[in-house]
Amino acid sequence: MAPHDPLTLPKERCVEFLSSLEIPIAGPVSTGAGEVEYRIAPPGEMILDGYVNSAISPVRFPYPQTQILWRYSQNGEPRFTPEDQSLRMAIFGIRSCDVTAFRYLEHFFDRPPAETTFLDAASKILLVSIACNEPGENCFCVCCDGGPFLEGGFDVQLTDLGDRFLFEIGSDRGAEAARRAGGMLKAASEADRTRRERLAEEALDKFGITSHMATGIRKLTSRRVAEELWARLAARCIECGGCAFVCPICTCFDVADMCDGESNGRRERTRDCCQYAGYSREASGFNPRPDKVSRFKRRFYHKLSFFYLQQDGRHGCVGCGRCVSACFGGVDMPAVVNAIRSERIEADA
Amino acid sequence: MATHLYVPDLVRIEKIEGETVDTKTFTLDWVEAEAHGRFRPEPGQFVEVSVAGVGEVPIGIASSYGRDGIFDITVRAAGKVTRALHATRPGDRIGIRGPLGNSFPYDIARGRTPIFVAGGIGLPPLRSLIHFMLARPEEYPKITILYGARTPADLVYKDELKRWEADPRIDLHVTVDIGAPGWTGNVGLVTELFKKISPDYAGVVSYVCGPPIMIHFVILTLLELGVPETMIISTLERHMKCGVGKCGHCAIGHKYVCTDGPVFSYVQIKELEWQCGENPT
Amino acid sequence: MESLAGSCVVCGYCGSGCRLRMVGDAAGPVGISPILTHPTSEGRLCRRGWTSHQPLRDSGRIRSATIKKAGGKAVSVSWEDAIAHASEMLAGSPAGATAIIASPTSSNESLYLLGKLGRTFLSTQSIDFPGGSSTLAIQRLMARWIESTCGIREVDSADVIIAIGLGDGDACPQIVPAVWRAISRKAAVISVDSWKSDLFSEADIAMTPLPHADAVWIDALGSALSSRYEPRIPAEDAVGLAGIEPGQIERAAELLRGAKRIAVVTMTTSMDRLADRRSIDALGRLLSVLRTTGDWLGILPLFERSNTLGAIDMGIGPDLLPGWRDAGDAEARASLSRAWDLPVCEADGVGIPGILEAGGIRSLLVIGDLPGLGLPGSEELLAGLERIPLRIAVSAFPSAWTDSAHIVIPRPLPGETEGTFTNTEGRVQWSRQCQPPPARQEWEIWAALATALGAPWRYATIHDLRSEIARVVPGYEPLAEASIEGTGEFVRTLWEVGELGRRLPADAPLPGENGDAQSLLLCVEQVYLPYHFDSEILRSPIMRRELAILPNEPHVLIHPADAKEAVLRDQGRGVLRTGHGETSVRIACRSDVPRGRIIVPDIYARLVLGPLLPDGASGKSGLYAAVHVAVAPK
Repeated sequence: MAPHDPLTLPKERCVEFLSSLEIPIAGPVSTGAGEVEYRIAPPGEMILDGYVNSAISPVRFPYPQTQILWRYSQNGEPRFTPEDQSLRMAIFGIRSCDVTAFRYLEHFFDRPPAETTFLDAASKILLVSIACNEPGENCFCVCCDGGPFLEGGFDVQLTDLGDRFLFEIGSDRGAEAARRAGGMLKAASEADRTRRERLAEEALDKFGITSHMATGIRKLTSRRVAEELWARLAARCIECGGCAFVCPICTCFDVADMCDGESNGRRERTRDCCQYAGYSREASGFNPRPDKVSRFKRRFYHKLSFFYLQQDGRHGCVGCGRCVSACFGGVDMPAVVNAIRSERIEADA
Repeated sequence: MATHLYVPDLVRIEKIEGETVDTKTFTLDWVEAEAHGRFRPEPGQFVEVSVAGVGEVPIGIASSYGRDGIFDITVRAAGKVTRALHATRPGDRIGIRGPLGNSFPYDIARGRTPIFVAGGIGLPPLRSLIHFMLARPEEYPKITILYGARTPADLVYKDELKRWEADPRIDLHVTVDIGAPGWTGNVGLVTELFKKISPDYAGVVSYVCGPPIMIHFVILTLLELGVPETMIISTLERHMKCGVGKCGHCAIGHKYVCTDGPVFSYVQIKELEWQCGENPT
Repeated sequence: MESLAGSCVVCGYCGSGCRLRMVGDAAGPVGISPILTHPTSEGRLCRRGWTSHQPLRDSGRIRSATIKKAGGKAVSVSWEDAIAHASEMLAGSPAGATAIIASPTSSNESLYLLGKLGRTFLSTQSIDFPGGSSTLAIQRLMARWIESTCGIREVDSADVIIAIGLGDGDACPQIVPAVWRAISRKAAVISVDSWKSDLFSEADIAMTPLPHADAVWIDALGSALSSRYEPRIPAEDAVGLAGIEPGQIERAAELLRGAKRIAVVTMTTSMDRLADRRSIDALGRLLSVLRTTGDWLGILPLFERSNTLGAIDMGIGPDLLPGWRDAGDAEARASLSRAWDLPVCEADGVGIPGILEAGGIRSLLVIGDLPGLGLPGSEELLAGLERIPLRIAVSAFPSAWTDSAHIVIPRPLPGETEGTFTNTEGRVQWSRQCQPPPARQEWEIWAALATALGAPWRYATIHDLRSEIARVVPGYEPLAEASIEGTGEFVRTLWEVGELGRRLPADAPLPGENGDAQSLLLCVEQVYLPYHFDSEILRSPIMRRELAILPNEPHVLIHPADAKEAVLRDQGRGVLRTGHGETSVRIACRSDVPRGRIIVPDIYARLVLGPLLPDGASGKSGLYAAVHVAVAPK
């Protein structure tokens, strides 16, 4: 991609810009219960500012919780037909952490053998992110190289400058979107650029949660986390699975067949959670992780071990903070990393 | 690989052979020439077997694979998919994805003494390599097979065991945990069978396959006897669902048994154990 | 892929009453989103909630009504034909010949109308739901001793929590964060349970009293706290009688004396905790002492299913009328007759055990799964059901029961149901339909059946029905407001009630009373084995996989050290023996079981205890014993 100079888009022309893309747009829409969710909706319903993030990451568009992989029909010879659920679309207003997660998932599913089910869907999605001037109360992306502003990974990154967005192009696809917008976009002034830099810097100081990921990675990889600490942390886990279902970069899934009548059916995958006792249990009854502590350790090994980091290009957390609100026992990512770092859990403090 | 990672190819069940009360061997042939052309398994690889509407299960390829495209899988009825498989009849179509996973390193066995150690339903995956070696007498002139099962009735490939018994290239020893009337062979754990052989263990390469607890004790025995750690080759058993390193169920540490394995050397197993703090066997 | 418009659903599992959002499109739900602003769940869902879109996708569901023809073959019919057939068969049944087993996961609207139909056109008071009797017992306590309950989140701010029978919290998970948060804030926790679960690994005091000994420790604690409390059992005696550790009562009293804010949280389904009149009365008196301690006292009873409390409020229970009135009370009946403009059945009613054992029942209507079917020993239950000449099932999934039923009508699942549900706090919430049910809403089925039986009622919409409930059922007045459909909600208040005329289980013998003292004490406890509950949302492939791990066969739990001494192997079999007989069961070791005890999950109590007790003492109707047994390997 050729480098592009930043542009600006007046907020009042944002709907017009989204319409000019001529594809379905998913974006933050009010749920009516004081929250936003990402939903395909008319651009006019999109919320442009003042929201934090949704309870479920918009990575659900290429990777929904449950998805049909293929259908079969068995009239005579069985026939398997792959289910194409990809859709050319844009996700507007996606947050930096979720853009980071989206790119991580692309990396993960691209590892040989590449999975076209995900990659086809992801490749048709244009990401127009809005950088985070105001992190939410559970956010800690700043500790996870997941935001609040991005240097890459987006197709278009918008920064809220009050009455207008700074419009940064991050890919050829982003450039194509800018071309469609045409006259709506103006070249950004020096002042606009300086303001963007200042907002990015100011955002860094607004985080309420700190998670010392590097320390967590170092101590976990060198196996310097006491078994007793794992046991105490795991005691607080009620195996709800919420951490895995809300995590934008958790990839595990279960597979189940469903019959639709005598001779038709489908194979579906549903996101799964490694904290469940049945997750790694075999048909023979052998379970390599029969106890909660070993499953709890496993989750954080996957998220934090240096060996995974080497393989996946980054550690397994983008700092979106969703597990903080999903966890019943307060043993979410920042709490566990801080417990590993300080070798005690919050209640001991 | 098929164009779509999760869509199976069709095979026709040519023959079904009862092995034990709960184990059968299925001989499979390709329905479509194109799928046949893509299928080039190495010894030790596995396939995902689909019964549409029921589910999918990973099964090791249990035979050598030639130009004819026909291959065997040996299946113990343990869950709902394997039970559904047992209910099929010759001529039925089922789905196959594969070959999947890595394979047994066989080049390292040239000029060494290959010893196969199998427990129960662990013999079928080893059989693919045994067939492979038997077909190459110049490279692998002699092999040893130690095979243990719970009872005489649990032994698989009973006819083939007789042929192997008679084969001068094969040194076969069979044992059962619990004897039965009419059984005149060995009774005891498979590790006892090492007393029957006396190779130069420094020159041995061993291939071990069986239930996790059996693998654990066989590896300990091999180490004690002086088999080099790099020459102890084993398969690891985990709940493999997708078979292509995506669904996460079979992970041990950062390795996926379905793509990084199922075949691991003892050196790799030890390294994994150190890295993730879990005992892989 | 769009979020289903207006897809705010009340989870169909426990009494927490979590709201969740179904995510999907016209083709159906593909996932779940929690709701961060929901006051009870605050964005947390348990594994049941997280997988509750899966049953809606399940093609193994009952999608059409069936009628069994002569010869036993079930044929598909339209739901209208099924209703017409049912009404023909039910018409003219004598008073008391019909019985209804309702579901505590139905909506208030369905339960209210079903109760009304049952007590008028079906002429019966034999209306019950699984778990109803234990719920009524605790409700009776609440009604007598306290003016209000506290909310789940209020427990956060307690400085001492008395937690009774909460287990690992899995039966009502939203209490768990409240307990942990309180612990993080340095609150003290006094846990009373059969064993010390993970949830209470950080409890200050973990008491594991013997079954049926709750009255003993509560009495001891009450008298340790206040001279006003009529001393019955001195604290030192409680150690021996209740099986708790020395000093625990005194330490608990000390904690409570210094407390400013006390919360008492109790699971209402624990069979052995608070299951008898003495313990409930003792707890009531303890509460009256605690009320004078500190600034605030909150009590939170936890109900098992998504609408257990609503079921009681709507009058689902033998001899129970809406608004907690006793059907034996002529004035209550008369007032309901006036409200309904119909005579209310005067026949006596029986509960579930009576329905299955009495023999006088000619027709039975069951909504949802029947708990217990599919368990070992359930053949007897099914045989009992099959003695009833007319069997009607309203079910979402096929089972031995629906196979045996003469008429089957598809039941909507959460996500298909519209209506209100009352959670454990009394919070009444609307659950929306985000995909149409295979047949009709449950309330529409009852309305159609009533019309076919000659009822003059006409409910054009569920709003008409809600307006009637608002008039008839005390505490539900706000139900008439249209705003409830959406994210609207209200907390229904408690009201004064009299004695309910409810028969509680007879007092069980105290340990040691039955003589055959041997090495270990066998106790029946509610052990959380979710598959014995009626819950359609457990039908997801992931939940089925998880539940398959639990042994679905009679087993007992024992401390590993006790097992070792008795030469028992985990997962092996053992023989339990008393002077009366012996039985062989599977042994499961759990290190959190108190030493010296063997615990039988309540669902296996009858099978395990039967051979060990004298004839007639095998606890058929909720009477559980603690007996001394000798154990040996098989």
